[in-house]
Amino acid sequence: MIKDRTSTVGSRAHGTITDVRTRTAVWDRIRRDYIAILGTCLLSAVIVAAIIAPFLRTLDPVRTDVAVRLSGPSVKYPLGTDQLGRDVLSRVIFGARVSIAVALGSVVLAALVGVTVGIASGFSGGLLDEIMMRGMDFMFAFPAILMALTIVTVLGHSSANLVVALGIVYAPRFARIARASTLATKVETYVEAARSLGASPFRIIHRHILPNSLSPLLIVTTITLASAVLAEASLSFLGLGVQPPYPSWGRMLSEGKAYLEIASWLTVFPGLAVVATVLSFNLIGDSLRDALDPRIRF
Amino acid sequence: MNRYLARRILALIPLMLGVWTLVFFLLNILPGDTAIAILGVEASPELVQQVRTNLGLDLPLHTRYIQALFRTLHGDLGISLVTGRPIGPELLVRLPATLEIALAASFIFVLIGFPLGMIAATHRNTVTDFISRMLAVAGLSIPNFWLALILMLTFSLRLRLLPSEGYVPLTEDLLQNLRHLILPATALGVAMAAVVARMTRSSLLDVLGQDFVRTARAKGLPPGKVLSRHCLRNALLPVITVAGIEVGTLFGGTVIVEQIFAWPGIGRMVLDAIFKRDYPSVGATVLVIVASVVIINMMVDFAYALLDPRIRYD
Repeated sequence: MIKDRTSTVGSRAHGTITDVRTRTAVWDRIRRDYIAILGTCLLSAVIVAAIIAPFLRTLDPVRTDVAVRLSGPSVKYPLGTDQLGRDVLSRVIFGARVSIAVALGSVVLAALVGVTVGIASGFSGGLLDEIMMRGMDFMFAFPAILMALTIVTVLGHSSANLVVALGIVYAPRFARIARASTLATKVETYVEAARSLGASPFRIIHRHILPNSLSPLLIVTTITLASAVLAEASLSFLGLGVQPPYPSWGRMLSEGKAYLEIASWLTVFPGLAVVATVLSFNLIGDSLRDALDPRIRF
Repeated sequence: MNRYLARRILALIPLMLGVWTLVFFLLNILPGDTAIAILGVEASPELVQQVRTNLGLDLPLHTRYIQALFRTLHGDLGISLVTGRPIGPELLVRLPATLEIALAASFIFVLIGFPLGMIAATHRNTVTDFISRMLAVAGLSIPNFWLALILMLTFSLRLRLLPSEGYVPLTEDLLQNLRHLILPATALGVAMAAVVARMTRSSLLDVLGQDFVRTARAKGLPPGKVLSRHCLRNALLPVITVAGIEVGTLFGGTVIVEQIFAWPGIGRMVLDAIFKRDYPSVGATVLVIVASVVIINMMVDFAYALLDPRIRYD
């Protein structure tokens, strides 16, 4: 873990040198790690696909052509066509946009809410901490998918609501990690020193607590991105995500289920896209954990 | 220990009340109208009003809350708005099917996950370790519903070895019951096997690096014995915690897998109820699922205390 132990108020310069050294070492470890390279390549491919999809004129995820419906992979349609004669390749590539957008949106939301709650809770302690932690116990009792399902039902079926639902579901994970780091850091002598020098709580959080929470939070962010892609696919599979005709992987899988026996490509390819995306986040998360803090477990 | 047990059981009461209240209010601020959901959008306003009165939907929210809470405390989980039948008996019929699938999935994840993690840890930094770890990460990255579809495609539609969907009660025909159980349980169990494998690996590596293991080896104990007598019991503890946490994921997963395999359990019931805005059914099913998760988690905590005499609860 990058512990900013040396950077007390008085010896900032020395702390910076140590930081740079640790960071170089961490980067070296990641670079040598082939698993991380594999993960980064996979993820880059998915992100590039998501970004350039609208600029490729040959791709059209919504054009239907009943004449070629349910035709298998061919030169013209490398991944085949679906029940309305739409190009599966185009739909898989466009599906990356929804998947990445929902995952990023929900994880950013969860991180903002969770880290704020976690630090406030850990830093203030007392009754506030007790109330917030009980509230979290409560949320952990719910299976994530069940909670997201209930929230989306209440808010209505759309991708924006999916982001909100998953943001709420994943916030406690961030809160727990942020709280644990806060509790560990706030008793350090350099925090005491900073406080005795008159540093405001905001400054202590900003300069000492946040930097110390960074590596566990980075790891939990990556792993949660993997969960969010999976959850988005699951909820879209159940018909609660993006509405048709816009393609999402989960939706494609649920539409393809009816044709499983005669057109298995409708099930195989969108599923592989989900696996590749989730796998890339998991691989990167694993390498980050090995490099930054092998003791952390989820 | 007894005091701890009592306190944990008492703590269930506010937790369950909170869950119940949250679900009640969530479902009662729904934008959709249950009466319209039952009758369809073309129903006449008079008919809609009549159904609303019959169902007690026009009473104020707090009155409905107190009435519903009172009934739940008396073991009456309400009446389904869609079928008009009591929910409690329906849940009792469906609960065994879900517990069966959850139990079978747990069996699979222990059976695959634990040995995989052990092999990886004892062959650290070899090709075997690498392959086991990659298998575990891959297992973690496969959506359970996609795995379900692929298993169905391979073993039912192509090889015609196993039935693609449906359920035969255990009491009727054991063999048929198991044949129907294999695919859904595998689809659910694989991701958790991956979690358990990873946890077993890192936990066993922790233990293998400790002084008492070196001592045991130094005094000439065979490696197998070091592993079984000294390491496994210690390495098991964190694995049990993780397995306990995963129980929630397991029950969440049944919602989707039961849907795919037409398995008549609670997971499918909750989904049907959500889509039909049958809020008494949603409330009751969610309550039962959360209660199952919480109770199993508590049992895991107790198992933990039994396995590790160093842990004292007071």
